[in-house]
Amino acid sequence: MISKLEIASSIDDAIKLYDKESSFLAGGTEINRLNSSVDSSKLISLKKIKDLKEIKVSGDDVVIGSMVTFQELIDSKDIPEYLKNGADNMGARTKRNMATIGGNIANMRDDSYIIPMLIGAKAQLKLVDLKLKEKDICICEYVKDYSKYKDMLIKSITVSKSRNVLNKRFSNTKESLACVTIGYGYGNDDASLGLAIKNLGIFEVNDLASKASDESAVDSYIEKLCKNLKDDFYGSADYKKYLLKVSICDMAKEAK
Amino acid sequence: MGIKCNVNGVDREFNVEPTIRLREMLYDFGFHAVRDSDDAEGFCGSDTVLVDGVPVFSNLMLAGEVEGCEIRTPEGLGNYANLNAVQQAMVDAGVVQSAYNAPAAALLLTWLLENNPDPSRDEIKDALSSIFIRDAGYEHYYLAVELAKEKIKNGKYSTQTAPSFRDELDFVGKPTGKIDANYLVSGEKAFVEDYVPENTCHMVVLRSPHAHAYINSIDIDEAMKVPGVVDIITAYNCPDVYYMQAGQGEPEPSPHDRRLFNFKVRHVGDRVAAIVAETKEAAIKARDLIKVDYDVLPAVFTVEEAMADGAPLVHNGIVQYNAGAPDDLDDYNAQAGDPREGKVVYQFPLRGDIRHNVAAANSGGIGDVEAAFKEAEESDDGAVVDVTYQSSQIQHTPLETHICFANMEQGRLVVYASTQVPYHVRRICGWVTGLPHNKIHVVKTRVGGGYGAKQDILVEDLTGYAAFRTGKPVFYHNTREEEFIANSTRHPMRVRCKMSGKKDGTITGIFLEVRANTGPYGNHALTVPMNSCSKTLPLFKCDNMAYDLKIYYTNTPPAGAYQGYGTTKGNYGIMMAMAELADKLGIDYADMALKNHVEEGYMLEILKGLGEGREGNVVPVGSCGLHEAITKGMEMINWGVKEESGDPDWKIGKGFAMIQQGSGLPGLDHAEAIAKLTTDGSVILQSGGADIGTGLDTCSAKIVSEIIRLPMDKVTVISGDTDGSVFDTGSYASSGTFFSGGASMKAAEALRDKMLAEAALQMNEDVKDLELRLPGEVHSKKTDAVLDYYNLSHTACAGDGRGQMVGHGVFVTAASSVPYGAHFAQVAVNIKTGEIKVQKFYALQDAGTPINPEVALCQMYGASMKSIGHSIYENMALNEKGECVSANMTDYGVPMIHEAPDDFKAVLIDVTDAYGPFGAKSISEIGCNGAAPAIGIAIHDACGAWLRTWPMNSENLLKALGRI
Repeated sequence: MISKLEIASSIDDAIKLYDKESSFLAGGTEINRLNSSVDSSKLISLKKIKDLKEIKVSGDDVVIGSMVTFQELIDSKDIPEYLKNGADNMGARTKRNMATIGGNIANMRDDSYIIPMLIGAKAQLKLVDLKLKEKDICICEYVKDYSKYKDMLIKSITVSKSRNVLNKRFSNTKESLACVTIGYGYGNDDASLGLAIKNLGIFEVNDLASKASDESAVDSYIEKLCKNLKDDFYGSADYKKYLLKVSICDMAKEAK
Repeated sequence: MGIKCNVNGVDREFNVEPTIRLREMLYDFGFHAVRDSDDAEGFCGSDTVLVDGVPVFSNLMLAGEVEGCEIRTPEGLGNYANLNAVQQAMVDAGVVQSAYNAPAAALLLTWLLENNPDPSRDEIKDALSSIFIRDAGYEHYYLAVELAKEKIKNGKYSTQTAPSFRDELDFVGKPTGKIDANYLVSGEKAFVEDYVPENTCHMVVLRSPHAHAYINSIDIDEAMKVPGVVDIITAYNCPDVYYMQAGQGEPEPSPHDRRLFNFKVRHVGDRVAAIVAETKEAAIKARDLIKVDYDVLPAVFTVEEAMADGAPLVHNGIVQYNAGAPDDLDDYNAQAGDPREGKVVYQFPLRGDIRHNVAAANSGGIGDVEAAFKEAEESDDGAVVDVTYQSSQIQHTPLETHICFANMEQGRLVVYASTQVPYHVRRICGWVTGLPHNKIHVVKTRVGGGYGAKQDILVEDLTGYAAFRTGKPVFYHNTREEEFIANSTRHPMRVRCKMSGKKDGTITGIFLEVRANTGPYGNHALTVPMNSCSKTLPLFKCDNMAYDLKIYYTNTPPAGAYQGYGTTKGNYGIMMAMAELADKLGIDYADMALKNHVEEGYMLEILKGLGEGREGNVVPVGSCGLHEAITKGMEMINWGVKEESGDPDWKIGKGFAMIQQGSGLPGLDHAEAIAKLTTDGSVILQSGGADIGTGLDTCSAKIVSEIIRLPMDKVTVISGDTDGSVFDTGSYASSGTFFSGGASMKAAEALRDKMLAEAALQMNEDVKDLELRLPGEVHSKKTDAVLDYYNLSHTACAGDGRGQMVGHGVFVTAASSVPYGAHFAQVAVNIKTGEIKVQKFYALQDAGTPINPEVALCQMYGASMKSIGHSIYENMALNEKGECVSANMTDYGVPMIHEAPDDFKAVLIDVTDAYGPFGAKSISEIGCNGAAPAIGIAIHDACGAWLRTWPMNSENLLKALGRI
């Protein structure tokens, strides 16, 4: 039950307002949604913090403020095409007007619209901890050690314009939650792979990325990764594993 | 301190908690067009507003976040008398139907055009991607944008809104816009929630967490202590009245198998207690304090489980018959179980056997199907297929969930209802309260989506009773979750079709075995499954046809009426089976359809046993556009031409299905209307019909205008009000245009005759020399004298006048006017990933004379989209406890604009019917019957897999292809 709303005017202000009863409020499409996974009595709105709304280009890098909405990603001339495609995974325009890239990362939902793609992009996150110290980490680390970072404020996300990233999302309708989302990124000599698997979790599986065109390697890797995956409303375990296998192999082949 | 912001150009301060939702703040301050369809799920878009020029879901924002912002709501667009270009274009395009979120759509499209005056189709699609449209589909929204663009740029339209029919008529068959569309699109007061006064009590319902259990006790002591609680109603203090909730004519072909509250719960979500309190918060708090002791029982969820030997019995009490009781009833009742089972009362025999979970059954046929099958099996020239198809449980998902407001006024119960059947609501409220009908007034407001869900009296019974019992005004509104777990749904149905044929394409025998799941109660138990045969077998010229139906009680959420009724499932089975037979015989499916479909004059002997719980009328096929629909559709889709995708993984296929429905229930339905000439010569029509957004009032207005020769703005239709109109069985079974429209026509004709008779006296002329003519005058063909309606009426109502001219029309008939059609689909399927995309969908339908053509086309799109949804995406899934795990819009999977076919066309086949008003037949329900078989057949054409189960989704396709 939300009993208090604070409007932060700056990052410092937001951090100072934060306590164990609170959550940062970004776009509201998760926190304010029916049956939200977030249950906090105090919300700290980040909407008035201008620093979090900026998109800056620095050489090959694009630095995206965490409060940039999905629609702003699509509308920006500076955002690489692959990330626009990832933002377009969210089918509803009005929701895209509200949902933010930082909010979608911080929620760490296993049907995330964009985290697998950001893993493929080897995105870097700038976090601010409760002592107002900034910390730069790869999104892979954020995903692996979420409990360590979940109370930090995501300030920005940096992606490379020159990186190639493929994206595949499987859902019933475009508005439905995804059963499987895959982001496969590659450069001249490396590959990275992010997976969001409904009711299993989000995974950085870069060790699979390099051998992703080997069907048997992918098969055994996915079987092992998904050994605890159960059938659910979104699809049977066999279905999800099958989609992962064929899509990862196809993406790797396309990358080649 | 309040929240300061600007709303629609006016600076305002709202003294509310900053943590309430923005929608709540706006609605409570009178911005009623900002509605809620999803309990803050961020899905339906009814809550859309602009904040600082950007569309947002107001349910997903907190009030405190808009401090200092500029907010625009639909009220900030044009009003009823002065619509903006987008609103007017929506009216003219026919998309303003049930209209619960039409104002939100108008806001979005206005925003689009203000920011992008010449949007592409993809940009329009993007703008509408957050609006769920269930009634009209999305296709005419593209037309609306085109019209608005033209109006803004040129001040007028150059694009046609819809074709016109019947040149000799002035109003009927012409696209004019619905008469209620202006106030609906501008968001004026229209729906039940808009009529609820302050200080009304709220009611919430405690629902069963168990699929099947006896109630041992209910402790309400702590709950009653919550301040503001007025009353708590349970099985222990409610009337001992058995009834059913189906809105059907009396005596109903549905068993009376429930009370307001039972001592046994039969599904997760079943009613346990109703809490009436001064505030919703108090009601919820009290609900959570009620202690219920259950004796949990094993449950059955499928017909297979229900029919198994020793299966748990959903009903095992006393059985009574109000007519036709069997001789061994006493013996039967000697087997009854625990007294908490209650009883099941049949109005007349439905061949039910509750000791085997059978709610109803029927069988019959013509000719000798077994001989036909034997001959085909033994012949080199013949083949037989015997295949079973399974449809799933489907929810109507109206944007306006079930809602009711009831109050006692001067000793009478007044019920504001969003209903398709106001007179059935009155009857059922009469049963549970004991009030005679003269003490009950049902006011049908505008209905924010019905589709059959509001043919059933699912909330009015309890809300009406609570108001009667407490003497307080009581408001009840289903949550979206309750809409799934506690309302009626489309019956899951197992349809086995055995069909034989010859290599020349002749179908020689058809047998349908239907096993339907009615859930815990028997609303429409017999008639929905009957429809799966009575609206499919008569499509075929076949001498040997038979059917066998059994309808089982289970512990799933309840089933009931849904647009298309049982036909949707029966047609899936019978058309798929025909395609499988054609495939087996090695002949073209279209050739087989063309060879075997009925045509005008063919005597439909099969109908004899297929009445609604009684003997059916054997009649010949009347007006029939079926052949033209098939051949035109084949031409449009290039039937027989194999399309290639250019990608080896994507395969393309085509399919189609013949379809039919009815136009009401001949011999059962009954409609009346009264047309009155007012004192200034305009007309008020009091129609018993219930316009549920489909344009019935507009049909009636056009019919009156056509006959009385008055402009439509001089005709007002008052409908669906049990005090203010006359009896009508209601809007279901595709009866609106045919029956209620027929009654309007009879009333107008009666009024016309009285006007001519009175005019003859006033003008000193013979009636035979007089005619009515536009714009509202009596003209003498003999003398050229003219008497306008004002003077005609004024004189009749003067101190020495002969009285107001009033025409009363009653429409009943044994005639059957059947709409026909064919729906075509082209699909692309990815044989590697199982993805399925409907690329093209062509709906061709014969509606007789389409009275509102633009509205009719939108209903064809809407019905097709529903049916595409049922076929591929939608799924009410239950877990092993009987809990619905997809009881929200996102998981359930309704199709939105992204799922709409890229190439989507609706075509009205022009035929004139002999019986309907100005040759009209029904339009809407039939549109739900084609997509499933058309898509299933197209999938097979694409990749060779037969998908025999809904939803025909990617996982099921991969399984059928042997990939998983």
